[in-house]
Amino acid sequence: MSSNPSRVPGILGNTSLARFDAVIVGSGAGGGATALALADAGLNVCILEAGPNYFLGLDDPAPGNPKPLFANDELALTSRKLIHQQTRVEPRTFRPSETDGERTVIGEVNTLPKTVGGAWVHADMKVPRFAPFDFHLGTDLGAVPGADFADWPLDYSELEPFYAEAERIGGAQGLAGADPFAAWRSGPYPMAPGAPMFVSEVLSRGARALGLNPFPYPGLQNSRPYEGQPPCNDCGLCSGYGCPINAKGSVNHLRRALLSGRVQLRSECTVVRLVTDASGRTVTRVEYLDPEGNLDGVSGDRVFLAASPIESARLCFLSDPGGPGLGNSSGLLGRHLMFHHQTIGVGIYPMNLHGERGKSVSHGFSDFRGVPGDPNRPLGGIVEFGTNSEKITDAIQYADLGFRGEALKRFLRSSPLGGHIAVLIMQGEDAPQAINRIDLDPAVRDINGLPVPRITYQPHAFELAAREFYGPKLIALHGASGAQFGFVSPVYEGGKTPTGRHIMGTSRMGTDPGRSVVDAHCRFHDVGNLFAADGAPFPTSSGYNPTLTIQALAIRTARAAV
Amino acid sequence: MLDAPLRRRTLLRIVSAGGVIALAPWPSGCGNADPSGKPLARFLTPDEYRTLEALAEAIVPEGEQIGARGARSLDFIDFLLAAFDNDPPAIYARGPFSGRKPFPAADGGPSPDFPENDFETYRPLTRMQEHSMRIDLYGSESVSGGNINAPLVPAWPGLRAIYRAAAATLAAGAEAQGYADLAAVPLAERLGAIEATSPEFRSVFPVNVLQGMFAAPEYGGNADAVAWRDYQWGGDSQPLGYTFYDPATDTLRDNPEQPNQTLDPRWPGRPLEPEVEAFINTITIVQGGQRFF
Repeated sequence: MSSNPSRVPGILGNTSLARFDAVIVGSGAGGGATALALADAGLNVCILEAGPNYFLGLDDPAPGNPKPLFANDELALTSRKLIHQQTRVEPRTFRPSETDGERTVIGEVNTLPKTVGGAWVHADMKVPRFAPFDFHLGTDLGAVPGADFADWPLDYSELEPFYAEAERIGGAQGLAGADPFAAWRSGPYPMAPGAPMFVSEVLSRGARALGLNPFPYPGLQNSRPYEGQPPCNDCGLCSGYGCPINAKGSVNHLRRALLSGRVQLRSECTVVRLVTDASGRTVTRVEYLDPEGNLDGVSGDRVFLAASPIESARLCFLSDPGGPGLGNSSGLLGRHLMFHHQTIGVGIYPMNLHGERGKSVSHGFSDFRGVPGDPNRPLGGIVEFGTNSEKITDAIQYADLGFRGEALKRFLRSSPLGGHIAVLIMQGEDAPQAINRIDLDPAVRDINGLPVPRITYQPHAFELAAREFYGPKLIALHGASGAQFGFVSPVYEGGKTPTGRHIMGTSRMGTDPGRSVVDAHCRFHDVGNLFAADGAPFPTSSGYNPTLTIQALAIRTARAAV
Repeated sequence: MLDAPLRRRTLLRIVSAGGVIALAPWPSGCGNADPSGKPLARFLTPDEYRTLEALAEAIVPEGEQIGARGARSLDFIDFLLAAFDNDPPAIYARGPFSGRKPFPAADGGPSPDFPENDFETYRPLTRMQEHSMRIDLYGSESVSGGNINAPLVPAWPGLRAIYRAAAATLAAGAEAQGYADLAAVPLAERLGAIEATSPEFRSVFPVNVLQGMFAAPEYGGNADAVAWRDYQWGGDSQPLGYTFYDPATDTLRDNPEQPNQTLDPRWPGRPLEPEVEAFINTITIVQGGQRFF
């Protein structure tokens, strides 16, 4: 077994491994958690990641590693998409419904980062758990016309130990008991909450005045030294940015996996096809384009899809050209695509809220998550206290509004949508609908010549009603917090691409092969050695940030697959 | 004092607050360098540079706070257009630190120890990044497969061609009005000249100008981080950040000079100017919101 770190460019971990017990597509939150669980069980693992690696020494056990190459560089990270999908060469398409033609948008549609560590690198690491009722909304809500709410084939108590494990390895900060609506826990958070942002202090005062229950938002930024990593220093550019000092838990699972000696990670390798045996029930080879664009392949006894629900489903369709899609005897592959329906309450305040300081979101409240079946408390979602941390973004929005010359200068000086803004973001439950789906666009290709994913999506009356119910309350909260202006933005208009980046569904889990794509342990009903290890199996979206649940579920899946 | 000691670029800031000084294009030594120390390549001719800078000045004029000309937005644009004439291409600065902020001292405050400036060199590009940026700069015909979705996706002429054509159009327009060049056109009349340029230019130019003003100085604009200071934005803050860990209390505490948890009295925020306030009021009404005072 070779010693870490790897000396082979583009390959991390144990480069001498030649036979693999498992291949994982994607190195993000789900892929990393899967890799560690499999390696801990003694399996040899190959991870294929489409993006580049910006963590120096990720597979080097020396203290102080990894050393990230990320920076407080808005131009690179936001404007030029350093870690994001380059949509000029890898576009997506969108249409609101099948009656809107082949597509209405070509380009940027809900892409996530492609880099070692996946979207978990750019996230600001919010990790609330789902509530116990989130696992049985099919029963609690009954029939909702046009929607397909379903129970999960597991309950919260079964997932709780995996939540705790993901929090421990990732390094979660939080305060047990601070959120009166939070699920029960078997133990405290590994770390106490970090520093509250100024905007959170302002909004928390208003929230308490209205009888709401603000609390420190659970997050994977270290609030103190943790497992050899430094504490967060609240540099401000957190959401959308890799951490320059490695104070986020973005790659904690992945690093441990790579240091096990049982894992090899090949970066800049884009998986393009899963090859099956003649029966179509076993994946025998995973084909990918290497960093130079040449076709290569790798085999493993098991294959885990952790490329995000859109890309994972796309890969299943690409693997069955002319057919219904790999693992799609139910006809549900790619369907029940969900994003959180974001209702954003905007407040303009008389003072500078210093959004460029802090960890993007330090507080929120769950009062608007609601109670199933209670018309006085409909199911909305957790509310985040945020602001604007980016200066280029702030400036460009005034130009986009048409201002030039002295008028533009006035907006740049005043910065009403930068320094003066506070936002309340409700991550609303998105009702699952079979008509919301991804498939392959019939004409649009990426630069590799492969069909791109086409997103067909429109919100359901369920989440629009929650928006109408809670939107005025968000405005009132701004008033109670001292805002000069408050409004909900954008006003909902049909036909637009969804704004939420929490992507879920497309390979729904369940016990009935006719009504689900994967089983209760996320194994494809039709393909015995293929597993889902991202947000694709979620039957419902909940109203909480999904990534900790993705990791907990992935760990559970990996343990069951051994 | 948190900022780095006076550096080479500091000396190059030649626009004082409120004043505009005629600058010769291509000041020697301005901007970043490749790993060998060679100055970054440029694309625009001196005439093109002067013409486009005159338009940038109209988009964000000089005044009490720096404008596009003083912040050298055109340097930023010029370096972008020639990005692939450097090796590696000058697209993504490296990280993690710029050297503008120090390491924290033992007490959490700023130490006298500043990191090296990692922003002064660039990252190698991945295959997809290179394809994308080449299309952006040289057009969709420049890369194999760049036009794969034509005609569903219209051909993209590339920023270099777009800028070159716009500069010619703007110069010709000024001459037709009897001026030597666009810089000679009174500032109040310059903005109208952009209407004669292509839709692509009208779309990208204001964005590039503002990127140049507010991106990290190593990209060529925002000389000496003047725009960040003038518009009261903290800029890149690592490795100091805004809080530090206090072992005695086992908590994160604010950097007293730049608080995270409270209003910073040094930068409390400028009041909304009447025109801005009126606009936000209109948005609030249109969005069905509420004005509280």
